[in-house]
Amino acid sequence: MDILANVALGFGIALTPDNLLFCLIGVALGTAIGVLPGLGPTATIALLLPITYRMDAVSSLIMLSGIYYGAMYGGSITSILVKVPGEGASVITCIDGYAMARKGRAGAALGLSAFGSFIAGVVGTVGVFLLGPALARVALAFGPAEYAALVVVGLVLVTYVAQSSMTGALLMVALGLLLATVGVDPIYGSERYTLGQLDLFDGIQMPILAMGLFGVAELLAVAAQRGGPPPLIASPRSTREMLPSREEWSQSTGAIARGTGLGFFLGLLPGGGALIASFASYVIEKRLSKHPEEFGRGAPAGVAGPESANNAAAQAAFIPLLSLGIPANVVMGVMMGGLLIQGIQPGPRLLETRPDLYWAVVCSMLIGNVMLIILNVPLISIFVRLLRIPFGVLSPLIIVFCVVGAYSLRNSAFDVGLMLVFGVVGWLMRAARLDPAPLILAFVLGDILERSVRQALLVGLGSPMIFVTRPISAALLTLAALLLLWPAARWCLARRSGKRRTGLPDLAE
Amino acid sequence: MSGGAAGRRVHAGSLTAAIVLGALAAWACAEAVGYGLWRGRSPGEGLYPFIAAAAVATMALAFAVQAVTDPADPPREDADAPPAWAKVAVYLAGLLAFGLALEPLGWLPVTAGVLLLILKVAERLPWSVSLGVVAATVAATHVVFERLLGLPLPRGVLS
Repeated sequence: MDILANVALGFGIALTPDNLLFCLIGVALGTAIGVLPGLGPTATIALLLPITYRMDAVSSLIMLSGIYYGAMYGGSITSILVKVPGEGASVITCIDGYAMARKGRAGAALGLSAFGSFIAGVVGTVGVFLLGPALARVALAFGPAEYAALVVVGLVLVTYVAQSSMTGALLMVALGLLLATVGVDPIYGSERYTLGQLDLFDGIQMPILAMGLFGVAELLAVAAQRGGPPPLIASPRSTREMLPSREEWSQSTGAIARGTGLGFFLGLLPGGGALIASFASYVIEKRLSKHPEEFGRGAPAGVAGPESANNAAAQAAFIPLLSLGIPANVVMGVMMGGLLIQGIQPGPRLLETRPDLYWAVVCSMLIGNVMLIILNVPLISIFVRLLRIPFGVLSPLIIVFCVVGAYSLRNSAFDVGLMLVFGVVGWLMRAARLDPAPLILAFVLGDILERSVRQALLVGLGSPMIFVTRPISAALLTLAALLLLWPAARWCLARRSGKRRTGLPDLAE
Repeated sequence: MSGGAAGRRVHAGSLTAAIVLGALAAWACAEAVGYGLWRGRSPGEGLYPFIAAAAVATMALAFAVQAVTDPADPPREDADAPPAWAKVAVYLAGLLAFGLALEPLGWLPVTAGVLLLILKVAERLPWSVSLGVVAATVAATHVVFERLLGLPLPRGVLS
């Protein structure tokens, strides 16, 4: 009964005309920002924070949270259409989303992404209603050692999403971890690998790396093809043809359900929850699929699962912020700053002191997700038409948008140059049979891993035994070891049973 | 891409990448040792980069072995068509111009120049289309980024 009364209180506030308008502004702005490469939700929320000072605290948080989950959806649009991920969690969507677009199924990919995100968003919000305050305590069981172990599991899963050999994937993971160390040391403050460049003191920015290795590299690869890019197969004519077919739906329903559950639980954990959820979902779907060979070539479940996971994680990330006062990611950190400026202390007492704020924000997420689907489904046909623009015109436009996105991160031409360098590197990596996805994912997780490992070693007085004496950490590390050894064991078993294979086993299979 | 002799072909692209990354990792390891691997009873700032660089070196070695021992990709069907190097060179020149001239010359002239270069020289589009796309893009980026979002794009010579 308490929950019903609280939900009624929340909807009563969230459904006022003012709050509906702020919710609409938030999701529309978030989607638009997500579409523009580089300018992610963190920068947008930070830019808009001063505007919210004069607003009511509930309205401002409704608008800012709308920007966040709107941007999570918007980021997938460019991943699918032009292979430019706006967020770390959208990197996975590039793989099969872009492949679907090249097969003339861009609309279906966008539709699966929109409906998957909607379902995950709604289920995630209901999860926040029912389990939020209780589940928040799960996050407290995770200390630095447990986070380090979770990230290790994530890094092993990264090798499973690679389109290259296991050796190539592990090489890219290691390189991603190394690139993540560029900049000022997080504990002692001394500079590492900065080459004296002031612009490198804050490290390499993730969007710079992603736009370079995916977006710019793809443009160079297509430009290098004589006669231009291969034409789209079966270009859709009607809106109905653009939306997912019955077969694509049947392939994606389970993926959406599993992605939602996975995203919701991993989203509770501070750090790379949404990112780990998105590629863990991809790995699970590939394992469960009757046609794993379709993954990487435009499998609908490869889009629906990760997109649902990252959206469910986006909703779940509000639980630790509102219930415990712990921001689960940088965006939540900026939002927490906004709440503190308004004189509101998020944490366990928020439910008692400001139940109106807690429940209104949670209910607005449900409304915001409905707004997102109403807003975005009609736009699918417009987005798909963008692909009909000749490549010769589209490619320089993508370069211009990537350059603006890179420059706008820190108003630095150095970042633009760095993105272009990564673009050339990404193009050359194709010739070396190296896949950039593991590099980017490891890069994002690298920072969390280093902090967690070093904090854990500080807690353990320098002894690495802390990682194996704590039960959650030990269980996660065992899981990582099993995941890493499983392909090798399978390869040995296959050889013993007479199957002859050359080279190292390919984890992507 | 591939070279080598009788029966087994070495994947030259993979081997080159392994050598370059191995050299990079060796340099990174040496730098990391300089940062300090251990401080008292806790890891120093160089330990984690050292481990990451050592992992890169190890995997680069394994990747080099794979490039030599694994058969190279079979020749692609379109292998007869060499890459359009001239077009790629124009794209690279455009990217270089963005990287070097964005701040000194400013957003507007560099964007217009690079777009025109790619559209006219690399893509060989008619003047009318090229100029139309350039005008529309410059106007759209100005309205969306500078006016609506308030992002300060570099003014350069126009300031």
